[in-house]
Amino acid sequence: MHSAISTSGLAKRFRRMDALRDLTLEVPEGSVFALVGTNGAGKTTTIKTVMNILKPTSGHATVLGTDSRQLGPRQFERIGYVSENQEMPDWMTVGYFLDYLKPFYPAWDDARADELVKQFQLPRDRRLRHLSRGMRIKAALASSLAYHPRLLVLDEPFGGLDPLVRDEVIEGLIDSAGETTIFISSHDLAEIESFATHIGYIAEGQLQFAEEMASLSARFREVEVTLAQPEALPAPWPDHWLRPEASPAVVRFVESRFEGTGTQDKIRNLFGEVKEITAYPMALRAIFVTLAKSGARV
Amino acid sequence: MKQAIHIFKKDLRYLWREIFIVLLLAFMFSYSAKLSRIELNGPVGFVFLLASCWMIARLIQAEMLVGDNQFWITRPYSWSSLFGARIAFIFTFVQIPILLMQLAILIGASFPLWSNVPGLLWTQLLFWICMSFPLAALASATSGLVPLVLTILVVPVAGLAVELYFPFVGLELGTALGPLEWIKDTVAYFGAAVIAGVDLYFQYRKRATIFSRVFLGGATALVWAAYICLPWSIAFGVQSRLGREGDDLSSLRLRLAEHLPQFEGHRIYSPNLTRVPLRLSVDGLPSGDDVRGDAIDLQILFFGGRVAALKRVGLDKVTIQGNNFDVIVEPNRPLLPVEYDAPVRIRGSIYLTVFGNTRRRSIPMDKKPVNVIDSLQCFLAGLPAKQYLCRAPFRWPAGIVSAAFSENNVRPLGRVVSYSPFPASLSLNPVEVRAPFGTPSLGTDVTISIKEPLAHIRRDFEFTGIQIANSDAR
Repeated sequence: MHSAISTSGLAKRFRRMDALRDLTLEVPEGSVFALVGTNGAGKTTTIKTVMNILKPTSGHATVLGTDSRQLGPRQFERIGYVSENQEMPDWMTVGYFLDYLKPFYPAWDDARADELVKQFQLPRDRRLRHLSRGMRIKAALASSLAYHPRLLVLDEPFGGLDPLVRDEVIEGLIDSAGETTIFISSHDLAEIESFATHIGYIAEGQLQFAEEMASLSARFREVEVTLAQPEALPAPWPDHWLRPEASPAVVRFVESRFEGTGTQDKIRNLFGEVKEITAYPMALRAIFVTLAKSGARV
Repeated sequence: MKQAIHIFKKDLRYLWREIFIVLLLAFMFSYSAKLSRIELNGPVGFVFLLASCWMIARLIQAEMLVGDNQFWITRPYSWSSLFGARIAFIFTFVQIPILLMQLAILIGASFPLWSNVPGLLWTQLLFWICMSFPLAALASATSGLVPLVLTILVVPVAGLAVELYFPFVGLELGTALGPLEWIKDTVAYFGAAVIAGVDLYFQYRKRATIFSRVFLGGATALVWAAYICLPWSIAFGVQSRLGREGDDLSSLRLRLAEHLPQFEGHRIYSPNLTRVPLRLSVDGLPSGDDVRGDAIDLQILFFGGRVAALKRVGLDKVTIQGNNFDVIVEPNRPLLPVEYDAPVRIRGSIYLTVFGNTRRRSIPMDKKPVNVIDSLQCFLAGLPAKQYLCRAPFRWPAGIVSAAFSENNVRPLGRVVSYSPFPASLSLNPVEVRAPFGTPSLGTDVTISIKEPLAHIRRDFEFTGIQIANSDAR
């Protein structure tokens, strides 16, 4: 599978601060790739560097086969970009905004634009400045999906949106997924989980991991071990068993490399006699919190 | 091209209010010019320029080049189309209105059009490089209208600070070059064009805001320094090269008056007063020609090695006694008796312009403007008509213009404005109006004469053995 976005050793430094360090990432074509991380982790810097809004300090990125530093009008005809902080031409009405952008895109699809306007319930005659935050995001999204982009890059599109609008935006994205590769950064893990196919976790400017959503869900388990008799946590403690908690006869931790019976064997080897081992699947949010709090690289 | 037109149409829609105001002011300015034959530089022209600048700033910042959150930077905008659309807009709604305004004023004043085409085109160029381009460059490097206005205010504030803290610069700044001011202006215009051009290119092509700001600030400071510090000797050198001295001026001689002139109430030697008046006479001028003293650079070398210097632009001519120019040299401390009594050496250079090839035309005094010579028009103005005025398109003639109301009542019409070879100066008003000095008694006819500048010359001189004590002041 080809990569829609590929970065290698990408770094960005702002004066004395390393915003991005040695970021190597592949976003497969056709995927919905979610880049998650805490505030200030480097998500927006990654996206802006990839989109040629910021110049990388070192390393390089290619977007749809073009060096990110060479991205120009021809490439942007196939790329959509929506950001929560994007400054829009507020004086334009929604309808004029779409009409204005149309000639820029050879693949602009009027029917698709109309469909998106209806789907997002956008008032065509209202100025962008008079739209709510959610409406603005939807207008930006409609203007970016109407030309069937090969790549859609979204920087925190759900920030501050109410659940209803969030669902509408996600529906719009799901409709386009497949023909369009979606690269999205977000805090909204519950929403991301519902449609992302791939996930990357970034912390302090470094990519901690990037993999398929299914693989991530499969390898993270919240494990509860009921011991035959109370005992302290054994040492040495495996570094991929995160956030251990012990009560007299129960030990809980997050296994970041769950392998079914393999993991059970490891537990038995370490603890000796155990009464019960239970492994619970984890939601993305729980995985994210575990990783953020443990500071582990897995 | 297609994209540029598309962006242009969008800007038209975005800035329709500003366009309306600018066009209305342009119409008002032209109309006020039609009503008033005398003074066209009213507030309307100023407001028009202000409104135009505001529109240019809003236009450039409609697609802001500073920052990384603008919607358009990740859209398929071609920089050349965006830049082209901007240029087309400014051309259509700022430059063309200026052209039409000036055209309307010239037509209204019955000036011949064909001969004024160079003036119209030159004014267009000047407004591009002195207003539209620099403002567009500043707007492209600032992140909003407030920072833009503050940046514009930095220039006069910096100038004031320099004047206050570096008075020597202030003195240079105050040294106007008179008719040669155009040379300094040309340096500024050329600098503004280059700075704005480079800045706009980099901002539109690369969005290199930091480079753009550093370049704008640095290059502007350099050009400003070149403007205020331009040695006037260089300017006069340039002017002398432009106006070559003809063979018939080889007989022109310079001499120091035998008796130094007396200046009423001033004694040359006294314990508290140090003033040395000198009179330079120009002889050998062809009959009918006139001479103007543009500048002098002079040194008096006293006994004992002390030097007193004078640099002055614009020399007063003592018209009663031929072509004499009086100057006063002020040593930095009172003369010692030995310096006063011993002979001194005076050396230096004088820059002169010779005028000749007089053309005259007698015309009736009329309220209706009468074409005289070289597009010059003269007429009676005021209610009741009691003032005689002359006007010229774009630039007052570079020669000496005078009006003879009777044989003994010849009045010059202002000083020579500029020796510039260019057809116009930077002004919205394409008509320059002048009145004769004094209050002439008005008859029925007047003879207007123009003496053309024939040559700009420099004469170096050295006079030795001059006795300051010979002065009539003793």
